[in-house]
Amino acid sequence: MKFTYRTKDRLIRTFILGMLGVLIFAYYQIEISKYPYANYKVAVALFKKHDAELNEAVILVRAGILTDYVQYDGVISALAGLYDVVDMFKKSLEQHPNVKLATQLSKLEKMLNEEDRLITEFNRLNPILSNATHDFSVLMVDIIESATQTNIVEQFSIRDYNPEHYEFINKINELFRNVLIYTGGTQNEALYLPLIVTLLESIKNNPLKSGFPKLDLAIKYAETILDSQQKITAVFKKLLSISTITELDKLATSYGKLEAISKTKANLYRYVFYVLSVLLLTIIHFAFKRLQNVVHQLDETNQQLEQRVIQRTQDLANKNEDLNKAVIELHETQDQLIIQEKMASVGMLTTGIAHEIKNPLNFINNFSELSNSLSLEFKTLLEKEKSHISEPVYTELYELSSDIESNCKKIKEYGTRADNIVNSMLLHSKESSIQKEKTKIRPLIENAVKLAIHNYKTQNPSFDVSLKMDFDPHLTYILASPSSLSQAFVFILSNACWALDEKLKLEKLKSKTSFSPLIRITTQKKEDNIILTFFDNGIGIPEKNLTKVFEPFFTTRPTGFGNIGLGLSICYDIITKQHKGTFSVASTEGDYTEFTITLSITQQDHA
Amino acid sequence: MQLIKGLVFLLVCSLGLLVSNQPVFSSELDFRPITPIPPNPIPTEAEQKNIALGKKLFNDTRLSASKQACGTCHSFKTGGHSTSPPNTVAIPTIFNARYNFKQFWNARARTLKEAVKISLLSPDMVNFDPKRLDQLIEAGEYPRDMDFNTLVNALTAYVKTLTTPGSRFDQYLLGNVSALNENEKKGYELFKNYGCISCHQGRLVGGNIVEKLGIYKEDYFKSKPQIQPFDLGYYQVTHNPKDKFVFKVPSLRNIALRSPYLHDGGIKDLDKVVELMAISQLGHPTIPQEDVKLIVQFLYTLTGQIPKP
Repeated sequence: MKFTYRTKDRLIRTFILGMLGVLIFAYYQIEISKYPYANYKVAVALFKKHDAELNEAVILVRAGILTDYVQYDGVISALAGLYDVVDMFKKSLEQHPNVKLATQLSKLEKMLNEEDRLITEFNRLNPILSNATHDFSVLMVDIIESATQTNIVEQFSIRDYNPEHYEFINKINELFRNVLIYTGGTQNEALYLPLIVTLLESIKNNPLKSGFPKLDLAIKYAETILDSQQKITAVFKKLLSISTITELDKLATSYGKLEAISKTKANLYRYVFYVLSVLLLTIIHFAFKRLQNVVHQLDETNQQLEQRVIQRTQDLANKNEDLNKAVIELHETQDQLIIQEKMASVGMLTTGIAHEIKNPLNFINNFSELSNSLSLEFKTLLEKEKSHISEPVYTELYELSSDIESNCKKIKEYGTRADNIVNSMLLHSKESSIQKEKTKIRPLIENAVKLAIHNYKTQNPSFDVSLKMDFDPHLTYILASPSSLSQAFVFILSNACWALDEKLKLEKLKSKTSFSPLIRITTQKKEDNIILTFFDNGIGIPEKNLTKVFEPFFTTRPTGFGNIGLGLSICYDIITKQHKGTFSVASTEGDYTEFTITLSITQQDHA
Repeated sequence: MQLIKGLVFLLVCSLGLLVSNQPVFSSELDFRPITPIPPNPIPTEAEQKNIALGKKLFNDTRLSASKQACGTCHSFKTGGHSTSPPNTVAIPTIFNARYNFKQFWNARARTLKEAVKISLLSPDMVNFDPKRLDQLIEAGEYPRDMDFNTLVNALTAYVKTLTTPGSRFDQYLLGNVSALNENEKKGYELFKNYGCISCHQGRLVGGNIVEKLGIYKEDYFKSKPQIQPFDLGYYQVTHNPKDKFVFKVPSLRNIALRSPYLHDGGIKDLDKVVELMAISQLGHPTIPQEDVKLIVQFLYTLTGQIPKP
């Protein structure tokens, strides 16, 4: 049978409660519910004391030791005491009924009632006896005294000495003695009673009796004495034969047995109590331990859960981040694609225009050169023909040819410039025609730096910049076109120089001298890629222009000084199209600009 | 928490120990083998309440179906008793009743409480009616918790206070020799010499044994036209022929106030009773009138201070 956790718990609780109940019960049995007749010994002792007092008082009364003022109070109070004790027993039995004890007690009470009856009779007979004895004695002394005196007188007269009379007096004397000796009882009766009865009869029937008027009363007292002595001795014997103590001892034994049983029971309950206490404590101990374990487990689980939640949250955050990144990448890619597409179309357009312009421009250039040489020929011819020509005409012609010559030079000059532009534009079209080779990246950059800065310095001699270059030592070679890459680097660096210079000028205007221009170049190998960064703390690029910097013909620099806004656009083409890398810019206006170039070291062509 | 609860429980249990059972037994032995009547002990407050309640009950005729109170018959003016109707047993005095060894003429009640119960329930006496008690309790006359038992206890407590200490004879016994005059002292001597003292002794000058009326002569009953059941005395209790005409020896305290005398109130004159006692109880053929007078004079000294009703 399988229990659920809850049922088990309930069972254990019920068990503990049950045990507590048994404990209380046992405790009640041991300590609170005491032996109900605990004081029976006192009562028994009291009973024995009163019994002894009663016996003493009865014997004192019987033996006539308490004369003159006979005290029955001793007998009565002892008896009352005995009844009191019985009442105590009864009372305690009323509170805690017990059939056996009640039966024994009723026996004892019956015996006590019998004793009471006998004592009442004893007490009734006793004054009769004592009064009769007293009166008899007084009378007899009186009679004998008077008779003896008469006798003496008669003896002196001697005339009629009466031996019968003398004998009668003797008989009276004998009766007096015998009656007083007589105390009743079997032996006494056998010994004296016949004698006394004979004496009484002979005195009663003696005619001399009439000479003693008080004798009748004395005989009556004597009879009373005999009668009450007999009775009182019988009662006395009976009284002494009643053994209330034997009955009491039986009762006490029963009480004792009950007490012993009660003690044994209490001891048993005590053992039960101890054992259960220990058991309960043990159970409580284990329950505590279990509780502690459970709490501990709960804590652990809690911690695990918390950790899991943290983990999940972290995971979720990571995923979210990844997703965000992906989205950003997507956006970037999208932007890149858009830019690439835009670049491609713009490039195509540029290339197209360049091609179309190239030819007419060639004509212009060539014909301007031709015109120039023609003009030179014209001059030479004019020199030869100087003599033939008048001075003013000559001067005029010379001046005209000089003008033509200078015009042609101008045409040539601007034509060349346009040609340069067109050539630059045509750079866009050099897409896959480049030759890639294993190139050392470090010297490539260093040369580009030298070239760019030197170039810039020649135009602006006051410019100075501190350089920081940080090359990844693991990175040595890359597969690339060194010339085009170098060109791109120069474009970027000259832009940086310009930005730094602009900033320098601005700072000077604000008369701040704390600014020190810095260009930092790092290379870093990451997996199969090389990451190049070009950092300058120049004027930076306004945010609105950030998307436009790679567009051809976009420039913020003043036009007309060869700044046609194609530099970054060409760089972009070099890196993205020729080298299949990425080219991005990050900048804050007035603070810094950083270009980042990522190139594949192995340069696998996707095409 | 469980452990603390357990400890608290054990503590409460051990407190139970302090409330242990009081002993069931107690003993109140009232035995003083002295002759004078002792003054009543001063009651405690609780006892006083009980006694006051008993006093009220003692005189309350409303409790009886026959409009009788204890005080109706046990009049304080006539020594705690009164004349009973003819052919009924004489009403014994209630004064000093607590010192009688048993109660009633035929000694049928072992204790005073028992006597009170019998007196209450007997139709010839108070004829107690429980319904009337209930009505009185309803009317607020008696406490709500009163029942027959508490009523008996209160009455018993009150009756116990009705003692008459301080008689001249008691003063004499206590050492005041001049409390009795010469005649009275002579009377006491005669009382002793005649043997009256053999039965009339102890604190109550009687009242602690039973004795047959007519030890030497049963003339008293022979002269009665009809023997009533109550004339049989102690026989009514034991049904032993020996106990016919046996009665409790009455106390002689306040005897001067308590005419008529004997169990049936048959003799009104104290002299006559003394004479009867001398003849039928002590066997004397006659008794000189001077002796009777002296004894009666002595008996008059036994009158103590009657309690206030």
